[in-house]
Amino acid sequence: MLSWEIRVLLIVGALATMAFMFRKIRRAKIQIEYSVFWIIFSICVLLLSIFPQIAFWAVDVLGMQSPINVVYLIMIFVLFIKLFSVTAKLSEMESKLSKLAQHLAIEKAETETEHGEKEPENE
Amino acid sequence: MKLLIVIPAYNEQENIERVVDGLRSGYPQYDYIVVNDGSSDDTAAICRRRGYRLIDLPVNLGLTGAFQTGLIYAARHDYDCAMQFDADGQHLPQYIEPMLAKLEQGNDIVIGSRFLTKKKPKSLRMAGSYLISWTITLMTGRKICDPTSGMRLFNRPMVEEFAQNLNYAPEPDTISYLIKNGAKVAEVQVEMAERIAGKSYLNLVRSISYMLKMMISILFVQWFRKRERPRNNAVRQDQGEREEKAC
Repeated sequence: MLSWEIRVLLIVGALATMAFMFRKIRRAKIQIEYSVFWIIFSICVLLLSIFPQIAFWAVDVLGMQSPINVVYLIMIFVLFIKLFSVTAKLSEMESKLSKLAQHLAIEKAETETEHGEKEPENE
Repeated sequence: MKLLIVIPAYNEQENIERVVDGLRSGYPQYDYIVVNDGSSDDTAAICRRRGYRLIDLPVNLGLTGAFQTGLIYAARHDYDCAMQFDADGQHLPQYIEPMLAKLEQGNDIVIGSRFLTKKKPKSLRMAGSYLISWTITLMTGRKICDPTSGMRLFNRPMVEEFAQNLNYAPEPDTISYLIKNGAKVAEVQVEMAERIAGKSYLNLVRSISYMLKMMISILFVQWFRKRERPRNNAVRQDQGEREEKAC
């Protein structure tokens, strides 16, 4: 059984997540692409807390003890996948960043040598 | 009107020569710039060898970032308008002139539309297009017959807005958002060619996730956006003349 306390908590959490995302979008602080996951996630949590029957159905399918365990399991699973994809993205960003910095620095060095080495300025 | 044609190119070594040569020989009156989006093939080398105007991005930014690069360039070099033009040969340059004419009638964005006067085929491939069209109509009251067309022309204020801001992808959700915020968007009937060489980026999974992203963006996210730089004439009574539309 999903207690009403848990359900209220889930609803509040989902609404807060959405509000936070929409505020970020309003201030142009986040790309829409990245907010989509959190919006879908919040909608799913909302649905689950409004219609806990979904959890009961999942209990039967997965052969688990109680609905709250299903809620935990699914959430941990989803967040695990998200964390994995964020790690992959982060690694990609880091290699792009170093490529970019190297490219810029080499280009700068090459244009500087083209113009001849500057005389060190005397004090 | 001084036009810059922005050609974002990602791994288009088989198409880029044909496309740019077509523009250079047939339409020398228009300026163009190729934005190589960190291609892993010979796109950049071909452009250099042929002496094309090129911005060579050292890393892959994706269509949004590559196109924005072209628009920043257009804004810095005082172009009056800029066009999004595919490097795969889908877009035909003979339609640039009628699109420019439409822009000069006072529109902010002109879309080269495959389905303005022609019927949109009822195929699975077009299901997404129907869905996006319908969603934009629901949100804005305007009908955009070919929202996923990548052939778009932007006037100077739009160029600046796209160049400066986050969340201005050259995609249907941005179009929907801008219409809702008072931009004048018109369509011009064009033909498009089939891609001759190379692979399309879209497959079933990508198409579905693209659709999902667009729907969520148009239906939910756009409500919460705030347009930073409202135009003086942002409040317009009617959204341009009503046209006969087949779609």
